[in-house]
Amino acid sequence: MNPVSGITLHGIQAMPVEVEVETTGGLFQISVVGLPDMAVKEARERVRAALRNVGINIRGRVAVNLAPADIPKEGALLDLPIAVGIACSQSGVTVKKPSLFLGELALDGRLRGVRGAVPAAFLAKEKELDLYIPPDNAAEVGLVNEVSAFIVPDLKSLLMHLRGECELRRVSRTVASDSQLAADPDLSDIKGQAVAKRALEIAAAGHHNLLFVGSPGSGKTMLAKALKGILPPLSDKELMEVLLLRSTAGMPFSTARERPFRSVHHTASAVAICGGGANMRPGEISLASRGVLFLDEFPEFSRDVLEALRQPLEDGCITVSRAAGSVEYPAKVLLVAACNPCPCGYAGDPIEHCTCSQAALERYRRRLSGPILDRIDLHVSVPRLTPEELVTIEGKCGETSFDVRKRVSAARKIQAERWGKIGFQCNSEIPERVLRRNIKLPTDVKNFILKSLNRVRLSGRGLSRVLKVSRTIADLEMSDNIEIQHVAEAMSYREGEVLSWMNS
Amino acid sequence: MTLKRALEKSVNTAKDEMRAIHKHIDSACPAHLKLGAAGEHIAAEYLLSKGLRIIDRNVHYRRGEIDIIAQDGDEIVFAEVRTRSVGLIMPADRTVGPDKLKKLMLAARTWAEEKNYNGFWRIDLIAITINENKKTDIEHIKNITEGIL
Repeated sequence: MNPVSGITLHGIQAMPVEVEVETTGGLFQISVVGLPDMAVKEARERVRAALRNVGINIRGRVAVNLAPADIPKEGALLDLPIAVGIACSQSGVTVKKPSLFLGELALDGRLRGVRGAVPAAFLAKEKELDLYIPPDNAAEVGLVNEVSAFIVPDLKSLLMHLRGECELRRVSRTVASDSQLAADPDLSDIKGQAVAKRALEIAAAGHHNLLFVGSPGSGKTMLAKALKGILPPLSDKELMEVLLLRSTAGMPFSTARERPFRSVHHTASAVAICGGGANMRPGEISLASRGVLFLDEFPEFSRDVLEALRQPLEDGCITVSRAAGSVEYPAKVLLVAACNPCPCGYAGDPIEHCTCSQAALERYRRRLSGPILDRIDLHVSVPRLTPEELVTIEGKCGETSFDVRKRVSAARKIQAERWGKIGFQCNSEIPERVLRRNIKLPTDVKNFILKSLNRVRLSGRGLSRVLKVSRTIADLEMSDNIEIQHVAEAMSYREGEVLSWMNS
Repeated sequence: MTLKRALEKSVNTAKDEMRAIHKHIDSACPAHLKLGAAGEHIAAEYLLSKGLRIIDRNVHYRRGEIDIIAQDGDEIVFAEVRTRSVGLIMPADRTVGPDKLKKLMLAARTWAEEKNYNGFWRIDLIAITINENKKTDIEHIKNITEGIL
C-alpha cells in the first residue's frame, strides 16, 4: 500500500484512497485523475496555495492519481493527502509508516474540519495505520479506542513532523460523559395524560413505535419531547454507531450519551428522510437511529415519505440505491407520530363539534395507509384536558422522568441479557421466529389471544408486534412470563378505539 | 502547395524582412519599438544581476515571440518583457492577456521541443516602467501561468 492515503465515504464506511503523484518536466500544471468530484478537482488550487505558503513551489507537470480509479471520490477531505503526496515527490518529505491523512486546506495552510473523521478512525484502527486529522475533528476521533492519531493544526507543522523536526500532538482519549441531562420537559410537568405517559414508558422500554392521536392543544408534541428524557443513555456500542452517522453527515456531536431526537417538519422530502442525494448522505431516519424520530402532523407528510418508512421500520436499516452505487445505513428508530383525528382536529371531541365534510375526512384518512399503521405498535389517543385538570396548579403531576427512566433502564437490561446472545437489544427488534421460540405462552393466555382476535382484527405481523409489546410490559413488571394482563394491555393499544375515526 | 499556404509564406517572409529592417536601421525605428528594445536590454541586465544565465534573446516563431530565454538553476525561464513610460493608461503588467499567454506558452513549448528539453520551465513577466527622469522601475513576476492551469 502506498504510504500516503486518504479516504472517501461510502455510506458510513471509509474507503481507503491511495494518492500517487508523478512529476515530469514542463510548464507548471496539476491534473487530478481517478473520478474526482468538483470539490476534489478544486483541491489543486488550495493545495498549490497552501504548499506555496509553507515554502514549497510546485514545478513541472504534476499528475495526481487517486486509486482505486473506478470509485468516485468526493469531498474536500482529500486536500491533505494530495498536498502531502506532492510534498513527498517534490521536496524530499518521506512518509515512513502507511498513514491516512484527512483535512481540508485553507489557502494559508491551516486545516479545516471535515466530515467522515470517525469512519476514517475505524479504518485506521482496523488496518493499523497512522491517522492525521484536523484539530476540529480531534474530539470525536478521541472517542474511538486504540487509534494512533495525530492532530494537524497546519500543513507546516505536519511537514516538520514528517521530516522528524518536531512531534505533533497525539489525540488524547476522550471519554463519553455519563452525566445525564435534565429532561425537558419532565414527565411530571405534563398534566393528566396518564395513559399516554404509560405508553411512553412502554415505548421507551421496548423501543416500540408510537402514534398519538388527539385534538389540537392536547399535548401530543410535549409528550413526544418528554420521551427523550426517559430513554436510557446510549451504551458504548450504540454511541459509536451514533457518532459514526453524525460524523458522516458532518454534524456537530456531543460526548454526552444522550439519544438522538430528530423532529422533522412535514414538508421533508423522501430523500431528506431516507438518505441519498447527490453525494449520498444519511437521512433523518438514520440520524435518529438508536433514538427518536418524531413526525408531527403525520398525515401531512407526502405519501412517498410515509410509504418509504415502511421497509426501514421493519428491518432496522435502509438501503439507498442510486446509479452511483448502493449503501446501507442503520435505521433503528423509535418512531413517534402525532396527528389530529381529522382536518379540523375535533372529531370525537366531547365539547367541540367536528366541522369536516365527509369527503375531507375520507381524504385525510386515506393518507395513513394500513401498512404503515400496522407497523406502529402503540396507538394512543390523547384527549383534551378538562378545565378542572387544566387549572390544577399543584407542582407535581405524577412521576418524574428520573423515576420512569430507572424502570425503563431496568427493563432494557433484562432484554439485553435475554437477547444479547443472539445479537439483539430490544424486544421490538426480535424477528418473529426467534420470538415464538423464546416465549412460552400458558394455555389461558393463548385462549385469551384467540378470543380477542375475534374482536380486534390483526395481521400476522400485528399479532407478533402485540406479543413483543406484551413482552416489554412483562419486563417492566419484572415478570418472567407473559400473562393475561400484559397481553390485554398490549392489545388495548392496537384496538380500534383510537383509530375508530379511521373506520367510521 | 495550396494557394493559402503560398500566401501565408509570402506574408511571413515579408514580416521577417520587416523585422530585419527594424533591427538594423535603429534610427528609423518608431519610438515605441525603441522603448521596447531598451526595456529588453534593461531586463536582460537585471536577470544577469540575479545570477541567471541568458541563453537566447528575441526568438521568433510563427505563433509567437520570446523576449529572453534564461536559465535559473535547473529551470528554464522564458521571460516576457513589457516596457512602459510613465503616463500611459495601462500599467505594464496588465497588458499581458490570455491571448498573449497562449502565444507565449506555444512558443516556449516549441522551443523546448526543438531543443529536446525535458526539464522544468516557467514563464516570467518583467514589467519595466521608465520615469520622466530616466529612472527605471523593474518588477519581476515569476511563473505567471501558475494560477490558471
